Amino acid sequence: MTNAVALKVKSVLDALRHVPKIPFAVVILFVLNGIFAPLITPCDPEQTALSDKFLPPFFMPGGSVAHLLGTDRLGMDVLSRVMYGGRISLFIAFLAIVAGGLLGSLLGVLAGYYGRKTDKVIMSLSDASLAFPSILLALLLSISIGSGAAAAIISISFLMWSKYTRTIKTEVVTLKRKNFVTASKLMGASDFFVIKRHILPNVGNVIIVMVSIEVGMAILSESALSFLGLSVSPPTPSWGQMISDGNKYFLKAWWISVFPAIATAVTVLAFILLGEWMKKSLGARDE
Amino acid sequence: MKYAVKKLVQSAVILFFVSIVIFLAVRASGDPLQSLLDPRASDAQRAALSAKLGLDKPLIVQYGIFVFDALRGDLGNSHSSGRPVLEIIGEKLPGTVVLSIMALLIAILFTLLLGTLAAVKKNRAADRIVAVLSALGQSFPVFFVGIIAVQLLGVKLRIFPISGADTPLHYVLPGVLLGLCVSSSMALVLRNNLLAELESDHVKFARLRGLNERSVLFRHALRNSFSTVLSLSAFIFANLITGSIVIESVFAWPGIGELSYQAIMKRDFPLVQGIVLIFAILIVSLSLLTDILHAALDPRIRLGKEEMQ
Amino acid sequence: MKRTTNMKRVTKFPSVPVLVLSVLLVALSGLAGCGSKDTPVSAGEEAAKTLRVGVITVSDEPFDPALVNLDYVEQIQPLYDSLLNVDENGNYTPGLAEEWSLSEDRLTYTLKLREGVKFHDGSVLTSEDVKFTLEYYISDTSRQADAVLLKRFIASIDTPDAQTAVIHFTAPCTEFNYLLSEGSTGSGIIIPKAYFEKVGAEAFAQDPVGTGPFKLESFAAGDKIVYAANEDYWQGAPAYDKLILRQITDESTRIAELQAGNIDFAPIGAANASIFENSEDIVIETVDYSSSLAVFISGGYQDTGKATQNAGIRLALSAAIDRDALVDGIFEGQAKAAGAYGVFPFTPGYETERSVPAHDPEKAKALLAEANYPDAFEDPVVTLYDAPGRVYSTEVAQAIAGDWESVGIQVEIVSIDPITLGTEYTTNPANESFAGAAYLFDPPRKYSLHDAFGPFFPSNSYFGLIQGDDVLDKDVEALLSQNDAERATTVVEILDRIDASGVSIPLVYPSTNYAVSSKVKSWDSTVAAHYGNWFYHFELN
Repeated sequence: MTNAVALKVKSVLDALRHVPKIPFAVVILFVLNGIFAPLITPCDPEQTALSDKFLPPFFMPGGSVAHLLGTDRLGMDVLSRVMYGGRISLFIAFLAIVAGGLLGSLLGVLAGYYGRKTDKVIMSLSDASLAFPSILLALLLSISIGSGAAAAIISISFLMWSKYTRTIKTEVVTLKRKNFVTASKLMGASDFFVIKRHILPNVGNVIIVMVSIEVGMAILSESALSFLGLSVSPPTPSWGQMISDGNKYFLKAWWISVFPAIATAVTVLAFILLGEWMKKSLGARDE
Repeated sequence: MKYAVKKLVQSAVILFFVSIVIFLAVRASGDPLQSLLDPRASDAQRAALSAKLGLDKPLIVQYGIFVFDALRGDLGNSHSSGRPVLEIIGEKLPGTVVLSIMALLIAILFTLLLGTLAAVKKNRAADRIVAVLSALGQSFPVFFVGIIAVQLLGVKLRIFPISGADTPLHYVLPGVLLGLCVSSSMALVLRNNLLAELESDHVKFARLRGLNERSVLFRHALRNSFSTVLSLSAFIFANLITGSIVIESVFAWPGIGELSYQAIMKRDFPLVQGIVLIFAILIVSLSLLTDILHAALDPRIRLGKEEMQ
Repeated sequence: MKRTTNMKRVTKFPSVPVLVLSVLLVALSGLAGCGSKDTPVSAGEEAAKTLRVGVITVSDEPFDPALVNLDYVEQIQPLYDSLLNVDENGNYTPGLAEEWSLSEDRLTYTLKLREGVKFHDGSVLTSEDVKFTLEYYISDTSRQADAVLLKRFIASIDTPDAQTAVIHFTAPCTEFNYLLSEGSTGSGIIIPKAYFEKVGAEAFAQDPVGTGPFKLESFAAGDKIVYAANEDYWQGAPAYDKLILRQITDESTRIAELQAGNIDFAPIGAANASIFENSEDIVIETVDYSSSLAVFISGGYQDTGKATQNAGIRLALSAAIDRDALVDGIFEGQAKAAGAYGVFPFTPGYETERSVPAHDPEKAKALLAEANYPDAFEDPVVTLYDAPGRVYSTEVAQAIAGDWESVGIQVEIVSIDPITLGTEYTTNPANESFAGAAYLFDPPRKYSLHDAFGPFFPSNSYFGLIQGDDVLDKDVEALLSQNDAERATTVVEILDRIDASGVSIPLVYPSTNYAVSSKVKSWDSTVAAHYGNWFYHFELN
């Protein structure tokens, strides 16, 4: 047993040696920031200070090091809000993917494993969800159950689940026909056992790759939703909402929009690059 | 043929699903009378308006009317303006559609150029640059790039008009912007498909037969990998139209996105239902079209996977 | 995977260069095709003198004054006139009516119409139109905000001659100067009987006819409205030819269009007004008292365990707010701290301005201690609802929450969309989550006391603000039949009772800034009522 574990660890470490450094660092930074933000922000991200509003970043005339990236409309520190907004983005994107991914993968496994009728029903549901315009759904959801993190998570996971279903289903269909599965069934193993023991571990790779690429999409979706005012509400900071707010005052205080936008782009970019690398290296390993 | 019929039936089922969901969702979202009547309105006024809008009937009846009328092409009248929903949508949809088509064409153009370049110069500088550009294009929130474009090109440099949709020039900023953002996701797909094609047996055989590299590229590889781009385009086109709210808010573009936002905010049931239904029909038809095209082009799908095992 | 040879017979795709060319051609032809979408306006704009206004919304509303929602009355105002006009001091001046008088017993209201006023279709305004319009406004299909009042008091309307209309009331009423003026919500606008009956309500809503300084030329909801000058307007044709209201929701875009010279006049938020400080082309002018912003405490809080059920705590909420900081910090000085909600210095009958509640955090803390906050309450958190969209609602909510938190009150801000909020505060009895909650309320300027106290009357009313106060009910009701001198005393009593209850916390009277380009030679912001009436008084260079 330990041999197998050691081999696994070694292969992970091997892989890590080749990982693209910068994207990986950014992703780690993003996650760490998300977890520790409440402890490390220089100011309280929701502390208003009307006398200090619209302060420019420290490198511009009128700026100060007390507020490295300046302040916004209500005197709240932009740096702290960008950091805290990253936490919100992490939280929402993560939960949305977990929810969407879990649901989608589960449905995909069922569709692939049981085939025929189950497959047809699940695939129709998946197609129907694609036919439903996502932003409108988010809007409707927000005015029915109120905007906020929950609504954003539901909307985003709704966007994502069908992709998982499709991909997982294809994988499962291929796997199903492999020898060890047939052998297992011949020996009388129950469906549940077969799924757990053989199918799941092997679709794991595919899921990991999909997730890493999807995180970027989820963050962007959350950004678009909060741009429209459909995600967390002020004063809770969120990148999309900061961009939207800052847009009103763009000519007066560009830093309110620009820094969260840069943060979004850098984070999403890192996830995409990491995902691409994972696809390549995991794909190569399969062969 | 049988395949097409099967797909048509599937599409109809999906549309029914969607109609039920939107019917219920919209009614759960609030009371349209709120936005139409002053809070001081009398009960008699409320009752009169409710009856006029057909909201006093039981849900099943309302749904029945909705579906039967829709099948005859009547999507009802908007709550706020009283005008036929189809007419209102007809005023706004073309603007969004034209913008989306333009964005898509620009996207396809860039995809072809960049994707081919990247594949041909695989792993060299050009390939890396395309990869980075493509990743960047996908990372920045579209609306933010729009904001920058408006500020830079519209305000500072005054090259392009920045809001409204009066002249052809108004289409440039939003169209090009959308096209670029969209192409960034397609370019890499094309590149990868092209590479797969270029290394396939089929192409190797063509090379053996003495075909020069350029012909190989254009006549065989590109032709075959383009189909993926096409089906992606259908998907992207649908997304451009249904997701237009964001871009339309940045560019003050009077299209269907802005209309749907207003309709939902005002709880205008027939209008929201109409828009969602039209969107769904659009998406379903597009995917139906691409499925049928693929089936026509690729006998494997038409005959069913079973045969190929 | 081997491909079958069938692939070769697939439809030929053109090679890339040809594809590129054809794509370009299609794109170009598409753009050229767009050219034909040009509305006649774009060509005509250069020749005619046009005032281009950037507005926040051009809503898809019918042009019928009986059907248009209160928020959008300004959109249709250029088409119409009201019977009475109102000036910046709240005094009524002649509009379509030259004279008006109320009988001694306050039961009969007589209007003398101006002669020779023509509707856009050429027909002449007579008392028949007045009778027809008012009866239409009180019908059940009318969505007029004041229909209920009109219906309650109008017993019958006589038209002894073409220039005279006599309204008989069911009970003494002094509110009709207001109701028939341009300061109301459109119930003074007169529409033509003959035309309306000829085309019917639905057609009228799309092709309206009024007596106003402009005629409707074209309407594209969500985009723009184009008005053409009415050459035969009874006050003389407007000083320019076309009026265009363009929807530009996004303030940055509106500013950009102003700077680019594509629009001539637009409302601008206070924070952005400073952008134009050094501009040569654009001047910022401020119009005071454009609305009245207050915090309301929703009713239904009795026995809920919520903090706001205690009157002392409600008073503490008011004392904790620093109104001057709001004025300076959020409104950039463009607001006036308010001592009362809903009544403006120019509201007829409001004689003495109430003093602004002092910013007194110590007093607030004392009140909280007295009420044993938070321990004595099951639910000490004060929920503040913020419905974004109105005048800096979000920023004000955050600033106020900050003030409250600094004296020790626990606050939770909840974002809500305006319609849901409207449903909540008109639900009576209030929903549990909403009972005792605070929310911002900011209606536009009012010229009627009774209208201003609408939220409080009757005290078990739709707003649910005050839980049963007979004196208040009697007083607000009395306003309807009192003259201004009598009202002056009643108002004081009403305001005292409201202040003591603490359910209405007046904040400020926000002003509105307007960016005016050099193309505008003059305009008159003292023309009262709604800005839709201003456009007649513009002069262009």
